Amino acid sequence: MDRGKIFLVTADKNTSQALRRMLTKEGYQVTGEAADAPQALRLIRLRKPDLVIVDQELTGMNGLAVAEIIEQDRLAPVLLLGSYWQPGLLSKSPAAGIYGLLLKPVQEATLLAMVEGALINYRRICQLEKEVEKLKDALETRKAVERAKGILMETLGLTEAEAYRRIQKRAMDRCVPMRSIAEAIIVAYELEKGK
Amino acid sequence: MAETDLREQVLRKAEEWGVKFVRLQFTDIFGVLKNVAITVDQLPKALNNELMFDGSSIEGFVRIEESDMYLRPDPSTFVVFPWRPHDGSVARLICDVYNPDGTPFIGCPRNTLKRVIAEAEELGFTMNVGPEAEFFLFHTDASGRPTLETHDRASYFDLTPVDLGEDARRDMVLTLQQMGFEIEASHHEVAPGQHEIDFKYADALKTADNIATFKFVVRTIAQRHGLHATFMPKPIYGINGSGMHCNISLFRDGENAFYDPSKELQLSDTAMYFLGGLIAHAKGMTAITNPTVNSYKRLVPGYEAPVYIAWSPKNRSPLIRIPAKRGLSTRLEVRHPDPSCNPYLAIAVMLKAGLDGIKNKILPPPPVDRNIYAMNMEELRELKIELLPKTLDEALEYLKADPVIIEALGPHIYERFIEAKTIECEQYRACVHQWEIDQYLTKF
Repeated sequence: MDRGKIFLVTADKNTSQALRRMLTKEGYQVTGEAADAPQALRLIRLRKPDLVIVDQELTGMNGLAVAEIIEQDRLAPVLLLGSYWQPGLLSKSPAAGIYGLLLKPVQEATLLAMVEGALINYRRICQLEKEVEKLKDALETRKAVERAKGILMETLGLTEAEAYRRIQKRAMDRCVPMRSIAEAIIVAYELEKGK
Repeated sequence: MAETDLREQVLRKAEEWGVKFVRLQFTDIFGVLKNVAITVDQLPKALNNELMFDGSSIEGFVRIEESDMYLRPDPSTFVVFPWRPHDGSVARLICDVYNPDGTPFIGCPRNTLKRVIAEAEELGFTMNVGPEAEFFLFHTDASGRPTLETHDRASYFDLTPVDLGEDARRDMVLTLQQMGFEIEASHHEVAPGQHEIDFKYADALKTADNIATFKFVVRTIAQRHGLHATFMPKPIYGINGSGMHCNISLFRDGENAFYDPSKELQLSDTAMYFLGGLIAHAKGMTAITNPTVNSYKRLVPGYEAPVYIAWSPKNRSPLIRIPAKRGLSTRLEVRHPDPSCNPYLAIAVMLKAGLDGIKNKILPPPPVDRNIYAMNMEELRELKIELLPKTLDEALEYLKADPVIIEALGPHIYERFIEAKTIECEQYRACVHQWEIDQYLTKF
């Protein structure tokens, strides 16, 4: 049973051994381990795990800084491993996008629940992000096409439907998105107006 | 666009992108990028040139008694760093350093380059430069300190087809593109772990700014990949070092001033004189284009780096090569600079040398199309082919003897540079190196 690839970043041998045992028993694959930040960044980019567990206390760069890079480059969701919690620990670096804090010594049930939650939520967030991107793109296209339509109606005396059809046809003929044609029309118009 | 419009635009962009911090960047004499971070609230003040900093804390800048310096941001250099998309972006502005009385500070390398550019403009020329910077990617150890281990070999042992360095380089290219760079080429170089990224040529000042930014971006992205990027000219004995070839052209009234279809090689008189100037001042400028002890370990035969002061329209090995392209792309490729140089000063001295050639109609020696490395001493002497300086000490002596290059640098930078580099040479001379241990410890 392959439930996901997990990467461990900690210099704490006992903890990493315990984590590995609990995770593999449950069907997760521990795809790699690193004891320091640079090694972790190198290996995570190679192995492309589904989840990373990072110890807060690392040499060279702390766990939150590593988490920040992993989150910004959208490599995987991160669970932070620490020996204490204090108010604001996670919210003071929101850019790290931590999915949860695992307190040492790690309890099996806590670990497994948190791993499951992080995997699901990460998937959901990626999905949402994709949708947002799509919507943004659609909105930009819409804006450009509206504007280009206006220009064609004004300069060529076309009706709205004719102008739309003209842009659509040109896009089809040239096998490019309508947005590219619309943007070209806008640029050409602006050039002529000497803007 | 008018200065005030540009300022307005910076403020607008800063708001649009949700910028929280702005780094005001400038370089010291040795090309090290410095920055003063300010919050976005202080940005209007900075754009009004009202921000001060303590210049005495910067190496080679000023003495304690003249420590108050002003930063004048160049609004056209405003860029938002792409690697902090969440939670308050960070942007940067490249600055000129000014004295409290409102005059340009003579020790600021960017001002120095601007001075030489103005000299070219008086003759009606603008200079374009296209750099080809090479660098190595090494692993960092547990504490983040660089090692000499390259990713290539490590990923080889890793038994995975993915090359860590390729991945990092792709990320660098994407980041640079997001920052407005037009990347022309990016590839693995000859040595293991060595890479090259070429970006589109621009005018001299913009290119110098670009080089400074480029080095900073490459290092930052490497670190995010657990790698260390180094622009050290020759990190490993026995394999190729890292150079920064500079493709230079002059333009006048939108035309390439180096191109003249009626002349031999289709090179104009201007091109020949510029080339003559570069050759005449080659020795004098080398301390600036190759400013470290290590630079001279790259300038040895056998590794594609130039050693002899010669030029050729065919051969790839001499100091200056004339690529075959003509028309608007007519250019000279100067091959000795390395990426440890201060880009502002290196471009300033190359331009100055070329302009001196134009002003005094210095003709270059005939081209050398034969393999110089196969010639013996007598043949070299007969063709009057000289050598580039072999060490930093030697280069400094040639610099001291070249008033044109000294004038380009200005007295402040010249004196500080000589002083610091003499100490560097002295320290190197006094140090006992691994090579000596290996050679002599058991022998004697």
